[in-house]
Amino acid sequence: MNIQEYISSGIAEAYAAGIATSEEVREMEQMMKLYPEVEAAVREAEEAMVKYARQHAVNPPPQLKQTIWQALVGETNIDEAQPTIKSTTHISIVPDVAARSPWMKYGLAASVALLIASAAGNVWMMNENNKVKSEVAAIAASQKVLLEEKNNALAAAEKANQEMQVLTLPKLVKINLAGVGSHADMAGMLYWDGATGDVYVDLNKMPEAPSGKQYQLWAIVDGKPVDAGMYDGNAQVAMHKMKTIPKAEMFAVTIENAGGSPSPTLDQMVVAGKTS
Amino acid sequence: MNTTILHSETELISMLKSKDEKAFNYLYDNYSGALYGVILKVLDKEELANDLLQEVFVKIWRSIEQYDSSKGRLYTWMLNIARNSAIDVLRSKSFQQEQKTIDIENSVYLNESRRNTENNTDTLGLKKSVMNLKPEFRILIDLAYFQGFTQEEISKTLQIPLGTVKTRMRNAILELKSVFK
Repeated sequence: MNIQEYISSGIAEAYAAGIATSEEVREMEQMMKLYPEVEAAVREAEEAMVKYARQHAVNPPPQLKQTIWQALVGETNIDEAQPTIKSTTHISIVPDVAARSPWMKYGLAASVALLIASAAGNVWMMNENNKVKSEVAAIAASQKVLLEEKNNALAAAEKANQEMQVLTLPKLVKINLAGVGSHADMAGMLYWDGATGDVYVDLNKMPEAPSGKQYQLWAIVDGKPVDAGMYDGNAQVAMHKMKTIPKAEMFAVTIENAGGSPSPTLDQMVVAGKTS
Repeated sequence: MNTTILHSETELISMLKSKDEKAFNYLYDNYSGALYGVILKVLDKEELANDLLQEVFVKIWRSIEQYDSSKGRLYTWMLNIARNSAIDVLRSKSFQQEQKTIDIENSVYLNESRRNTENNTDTLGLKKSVMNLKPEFRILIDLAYFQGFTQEEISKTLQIPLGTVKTRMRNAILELKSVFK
């Protein structure tokens, strides 16, 4: 064992204060015999205890001195009898912690128990309070998430509703956009409101445009391609509103650089459909 | 109060063994205040403390032959007799029944403040030094030194693992020691 560590552990102070366990006391008595530095540490701790006791000394009532002396004289004369000792059943000379353990059977002093219960209660309340606080925070957070989800759901429903509305327009023209050339396996749908010229496309079943590219819709008006808008690729939306095209013979989709081109790259035409 | 010539502890021990009045006077004049202070701190009841001080002197008187200087100073031996006797009373059935009616606030931490008016030298030092301790140290010192709890009992009562009680107790004592310096 490292003696310095033993000394600095506070054991010397506990021993001097009489609050070391009986095991620690026995150990310390051995250590003091073996190591002068341990003994010195105990002496130092004792000095602190004495200093403490002197600082907090209280003078007993003056008449007590004579009473006590009378008791001691009686004690000396009667020798082993204990006429003056009222409640002593054993004499504690060395702090013997083990000898005091039976008191536990009688419970703690009511005051101490209550104090500790109240302190423990406070700790418990504090813990509960913190628990409740974090629960409230968690609930608030999940409520926020739920609210967002609800709003998203409402927006989606609203959108779906609008899409449904489109489908019920009286003059709606449904155009199948069929695969062109080597893209025969591709297909899309285009909805064109004959009354307003509003155009909606559904290209969700088409593969995603290659990276850096975008699908661009063209209307063929009087034999010339007119830009009808870029497809944003958002699969969440079924009907993508494009530019308003009052008149067209045909619609076609090409793959263009992201952002679109002023005129279509014809060999990149993937799907197309005639209006009539 | 210190009117007699200051004896060394060794001298005092042989004086006490002669059991004459001179020895008693010296003992009482030099040590009763410190012993009474410890008793009052534990019991906080003047009447009980008076009775107990008498009991403590009887114990010292009777057991001086058993005192072993290799185990510690006479002064701390006597302090421990006072403290242990006071704790025995504190834990006796009759005392506890009496205490039941007393407001819990008064009994543990506020021991010192109640004697403020009678005893000015007493309170400031301890209250300050103990109050300077961290709360978890304070309760340990209070339970261990003034209530006489063993570390096992503290562990059970506060529901802290015994190892933690031991570590904290030593830290508390070391901290207290540095306060006293």
